[in-house]
Amino acid sequence: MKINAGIRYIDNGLVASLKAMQVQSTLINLSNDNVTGFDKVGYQRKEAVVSSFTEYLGVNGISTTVDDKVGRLAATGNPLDLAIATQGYFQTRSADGIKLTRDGRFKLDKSGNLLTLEDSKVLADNGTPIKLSIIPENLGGVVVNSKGALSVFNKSTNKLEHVANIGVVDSNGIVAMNPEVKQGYNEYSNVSLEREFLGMMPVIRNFDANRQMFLIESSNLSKAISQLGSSS
Amino acid sequence: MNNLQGIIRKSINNTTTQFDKMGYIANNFANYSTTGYKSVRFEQMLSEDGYLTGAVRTDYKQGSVQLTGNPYDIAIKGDGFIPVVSQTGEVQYTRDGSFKVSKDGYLTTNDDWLVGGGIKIPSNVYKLTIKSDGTVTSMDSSQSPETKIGTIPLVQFKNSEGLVQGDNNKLKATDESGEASLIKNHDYIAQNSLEMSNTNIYDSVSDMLRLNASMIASLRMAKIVDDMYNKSVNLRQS
Repeated sequence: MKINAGIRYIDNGLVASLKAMQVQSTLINLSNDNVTGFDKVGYQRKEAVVSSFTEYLGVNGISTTVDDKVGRLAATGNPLDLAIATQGYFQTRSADGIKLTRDGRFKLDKSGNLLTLEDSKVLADNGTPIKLSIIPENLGGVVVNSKGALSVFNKSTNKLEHVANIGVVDSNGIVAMNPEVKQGYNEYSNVSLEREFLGMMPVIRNFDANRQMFLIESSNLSKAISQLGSSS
Repeated sequence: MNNLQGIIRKSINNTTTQFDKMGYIANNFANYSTTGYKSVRFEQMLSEDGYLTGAVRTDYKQGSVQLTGNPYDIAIKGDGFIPVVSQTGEVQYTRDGSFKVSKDGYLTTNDDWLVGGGIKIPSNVYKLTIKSDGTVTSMDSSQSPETKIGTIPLVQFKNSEGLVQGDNNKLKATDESGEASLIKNHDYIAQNSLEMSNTNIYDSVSDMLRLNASMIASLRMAKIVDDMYNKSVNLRQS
């Protein structure tokens, strides 16, 4: 920046502080997502990856990864609540395409389709939607073993009939070899609130520090303008 | 939405949704002593972009059966619903078996809906027996033979979760629930007893603690971000 024909002022400092403040607020946004996801079924903690040169790249230097540790499992007693006790995802299909989720709260409709709470179809390990051949009288007739094989009780033969294997895939969509599916459980998030809030403190302090820097530089600039520009 | 306003909006959205959930839990508590009540769960779903939606699920687990000694009280031990008919002819379904005899002699629910197609109880009834398959018999005196006076029907739906709340502890059939079909040859009905609600106090309290933590955390987030917002807006020399 050129002031009064000849005096140069380096304004990079101002921009750097502003960029840093933007970066801090983006990090806060991630923490907020985690706080919101704290009591949501199947939510996985997002973690920020701040690359080198973020001081120049600004918010573009931030990417996120997913923390794939298994969350808290809680017994619900509903046979259609499934949780994956290992890493992996359920596959669901809706009009928007195929999605991966760890939210195993499923339901049956009247024709026996296994659906998520948002009416997407749950896919088997061969990629087809799961449809029960027999609609059980009550949900207790649906049995899912730890490998994800879903069977339904046939009242007329008094036997369990195998329907499909629930597809558990990794984040690339490849079928997991040894999934551990737990029937009657929900998986809550792997977020711990105290860690989120403690992790936020340095971010907020950093934000404040950069704001102070901005103010100092801003006042230096205005001093330069008012004093050097005066005619005394 | 990555900006500070977006964060505040997400926090507020989460807080209000938790309040909704609190309402459903309170509803379950309020109906703790309602016979045949099935507890509901407010399930929250968080989408990838942070948008929060909710769905209500009814839990059709069996409630505990309590002896009352009143011959007009029945409990359903198993699946199914009893169809009841209003005075205007509307059919709804209930698991509340606390019946009574109306002034014109019919077996009705507490709010005067006819049970099944209408079962007329003789005025000189000495002993009323309801068998486990729903058959209602009466005896005029201790020596007289049992005469069958009707059957309490029991129906089931292909998808009970598709039923919606009707009037006063009753459920209504919808397209999603499918048609009602009669359960034959069952032994689900128990006379002289009532099915209590299936509200689980411990689960509800644990849910409430969890939602409270989430609500407080989100409100705290809103406060933190509000401070940051304030500081960003006042980026001038103080």
